[in-house]
Amino acid sequence: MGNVKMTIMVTLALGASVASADKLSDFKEAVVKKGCESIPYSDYRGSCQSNQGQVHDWCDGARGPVTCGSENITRQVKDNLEKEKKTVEALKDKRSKLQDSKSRASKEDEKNKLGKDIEQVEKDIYEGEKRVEQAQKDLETRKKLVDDAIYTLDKCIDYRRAVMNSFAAALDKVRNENETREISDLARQLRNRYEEGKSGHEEQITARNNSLTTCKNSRP
Amino acid sequence: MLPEHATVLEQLRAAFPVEPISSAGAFDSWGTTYPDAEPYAKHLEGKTWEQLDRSYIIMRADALGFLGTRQLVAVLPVYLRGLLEDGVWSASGDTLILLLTKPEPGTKTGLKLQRFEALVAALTPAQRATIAAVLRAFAATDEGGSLGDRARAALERHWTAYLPGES
Repeated sequence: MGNVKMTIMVTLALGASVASADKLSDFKEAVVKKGCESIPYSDYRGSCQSNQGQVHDWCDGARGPVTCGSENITRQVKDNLEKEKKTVEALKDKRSKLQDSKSRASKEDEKNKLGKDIEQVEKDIYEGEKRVEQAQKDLETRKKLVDDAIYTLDKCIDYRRAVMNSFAAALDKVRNENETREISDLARQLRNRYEEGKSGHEEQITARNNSLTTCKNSRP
Repeated sequence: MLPEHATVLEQLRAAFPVEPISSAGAFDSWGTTYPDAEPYAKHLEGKTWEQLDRSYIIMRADALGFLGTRQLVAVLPVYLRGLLEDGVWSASGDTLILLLTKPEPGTKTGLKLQRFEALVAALTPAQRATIAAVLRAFAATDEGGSLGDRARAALERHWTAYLPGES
């Protein structure tokens, strides 16, 4: 019975020692690495790496637009549509007045002249309606870009936050590492690095949130 | 790019030296957790700011929040030029303007004050004046736009003092 107990205790001690050596090795590796690889815990490191891959996809523009330009672009596109619509309305009024004048005209040459004027105005209306159609298409294109950018930026921000959270989780964990003096020293170095890097991650999220605000303000 | 921006671009070229950049230690102070630290540093190494792969550098504007001060000053002209040339469509516009916005105590916008002050201290008077000129030129192109408003806020909070005739 005594031998069994001793064997268990030795096994546990050896196991703990191997685990501690593995951890030390992970920590030694982490302090010389950058980015996600500076996280000594495989679960947080893995989550950081997979989310960082998504950050590239969603924040670099491959999955969709990440900027809407300016709210002024939406205003210009909307103003242009209104202007073209008003132009067509004015032309239609003009045609109506010309038609009225023509119906009241008594002389043939006057009727002919008014007829030609009406023909010209109808051509102008046709051209104007084409411009209205184009302006409507421009507005739809603008709306699609803004909607797409909002979707892309939301995803970009989510994944950036997830990367930041991997470091926050690692930071919480390294704060409590004190198994051996060596691990404790390395953990302190990592803690300092994570704390120094925090504002960089926050800034990126703020910058993308600012872009998102511009997009939301740019909705037609 | 607007014709008047050509003058500011000339000012930018005169203010920022065309010297090879050393990327050694670029992310040691603030950026060990920056996931793209190594590829970004490789892109910088040995190149002048005008030789850098502009599309890559602008796409990786997130590096600005993690770079050490020396390299930050070295790459800044690429982003300033992007703001002038691409205007409101600059993919790095929001990041750059945030970087150049002096943080107010207790807020989390822009660089932390210590980093902002280190950046300003590392710039020459001509470089500071150039940054102010770029912000002013850009803000004028986006009157009533939120990015233009943010550029104006950055200008008013710190950089206006470096414009000629201002103090």
